[in-house]
Amino acid sequence: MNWLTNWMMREGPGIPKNAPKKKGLALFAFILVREAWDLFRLNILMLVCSIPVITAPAALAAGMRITNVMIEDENVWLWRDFRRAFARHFLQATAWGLAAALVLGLAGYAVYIYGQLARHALVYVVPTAIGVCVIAFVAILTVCLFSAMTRFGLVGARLLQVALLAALARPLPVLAGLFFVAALWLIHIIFYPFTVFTPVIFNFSLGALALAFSAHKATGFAFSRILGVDSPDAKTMATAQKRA
Amino acid sequence: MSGISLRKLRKTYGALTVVHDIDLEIADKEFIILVGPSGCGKSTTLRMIAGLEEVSAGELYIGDELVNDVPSKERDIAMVFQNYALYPHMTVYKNMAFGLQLRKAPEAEIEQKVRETAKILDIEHLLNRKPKALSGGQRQRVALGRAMVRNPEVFLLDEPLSNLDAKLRGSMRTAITKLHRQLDSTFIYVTHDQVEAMTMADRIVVMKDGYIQQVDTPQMLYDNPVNMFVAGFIGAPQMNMMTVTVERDGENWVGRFHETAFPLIVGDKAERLAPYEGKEIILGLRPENFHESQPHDIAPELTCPFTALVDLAEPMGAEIHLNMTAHGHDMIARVSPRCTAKDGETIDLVADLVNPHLFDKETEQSILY
Repeated sequence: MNWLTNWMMREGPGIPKNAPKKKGLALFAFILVREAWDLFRLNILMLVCSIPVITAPAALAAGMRITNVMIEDENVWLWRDFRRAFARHFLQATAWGLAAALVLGLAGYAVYIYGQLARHALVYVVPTAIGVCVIAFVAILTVCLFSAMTRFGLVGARLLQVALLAALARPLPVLAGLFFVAALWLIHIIFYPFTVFTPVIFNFSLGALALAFSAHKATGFAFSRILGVDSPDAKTMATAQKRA
Repeated sequence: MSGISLRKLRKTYGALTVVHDIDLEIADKEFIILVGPSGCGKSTTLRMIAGLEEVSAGELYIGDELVNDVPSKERDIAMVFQNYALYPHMTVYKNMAFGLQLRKAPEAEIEQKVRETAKILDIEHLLNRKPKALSGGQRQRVALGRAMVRNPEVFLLDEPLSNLDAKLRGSMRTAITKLHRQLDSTFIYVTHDQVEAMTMADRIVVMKDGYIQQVDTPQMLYDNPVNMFVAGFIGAPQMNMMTVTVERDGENWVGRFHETAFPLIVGDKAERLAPYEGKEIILGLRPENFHESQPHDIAPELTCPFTALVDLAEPMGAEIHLNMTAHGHDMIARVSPRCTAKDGETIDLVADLVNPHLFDKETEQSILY
């Protein structure tokens, strides 16, 4: 077992204090590698907590909160932070989650209906397109809302205000995050049964990380604009422990 | 808290005694360094203070409390190991917080202490990283930080810089010395590196074969070694030792080294040389006691010119170390970088005899101490 000890104890290259910070996809990949084990554990937590279905929004909120802390390069006490975030955001996340699900459901149904009609009369393409746009925007808004909720602890109208501005200001990265999540689940479905374990291993937490990452800048921007506080990152916010 | 007291402290493993009834008083807030070659018992002594080794005999006091049987965790001490002993699966933050968590410290306090300590050690940017990514120096800072967050009365450091490269060791030496001043705690530090001992300690404890040889300030140890071991161990390059015969020259004493006679300047301790008249003793001269020419500030009668064969000249930048042979004795001199002596050449040097170190040839103890 010496090789294992040596591997574990081997000196690393060191981390320069003034090394330029990674950005974009490089940062995403870095977080993924750095937090791989915690993401796996987070996935299990999210999966288990989503089993009653009604708790899924709160599980997503807790997962996004943990991944937001990871993005801010702060220390995570996984179980403790998850438990607290789940309890803290349960009501709000459930309410917003149900509302979003309702709107998305109605819009989805409308798109389906108008889509069927558009096959016979071209004029129905317009409401179908509007329906698709509504779905996209509500999905983006919901992601921004969950991100702002879990990062800044906002509630009610102020939360909606921040989320709306974020969704309008930087919708494309969030849309990309949503596509990434959709791709994760599509891969699971398409390659089933080879991918039978992907939801157990990473689908939930990786999805939460992708969504949190994609909305991070947008919500930060919106928060600073509306609240008048400079970039609300780890330095201005209390840390993972105190935020709980 | 009022220091640590070791009274007749002994450690045995079966029939083998590795620490022999040592006595040592360590003052509160003192930076004391245990130094000696491998196997001299310095780490065992430290581990007894830490509570990681049982005391075989004697008494160990921390403050006024006898702690022989007090468990390690109740001694209010923190230890830093040579191999850092960081938990590889935990981040730096968790490594530092772990001790406080075990003590069930409030979360806010843990948070505050970890961040404050990280700031002092300049490792804030490492808090969310695992030890695997850190360099040796960074790991050592984390290990120090883990000890610091507990705010212990006593820090025990067991060769903490041994795994670092020379450059990093230099900067960490400075960092630890500053840290000691900043924290105002008692530091007990074990090393086999006499440079570390000389540069960092308030007092040095020189150990050999489980015995304390001498306890004193670095300069006193250098100027007044109690025996040949201490004289040889402290100082780099080490002291030159040569056998000389003590002779009387009227009221004065002279030493004879082969055909050369030179004065033995012993001031008011002249009577101590009387028993050695006609006998051989060991004369110790530091490498810096050799000069290329007569020093201006020393009277010629207090010096002794001699010729030596240069075996190897080692340029060190600020000085040159000349490894030489004179009358079959190997010697080393520290001369200025302007010295042009080459390997294989002879060189005329002047030995300054103002502060000679004289040792009994049998007991190896200092005659003048």
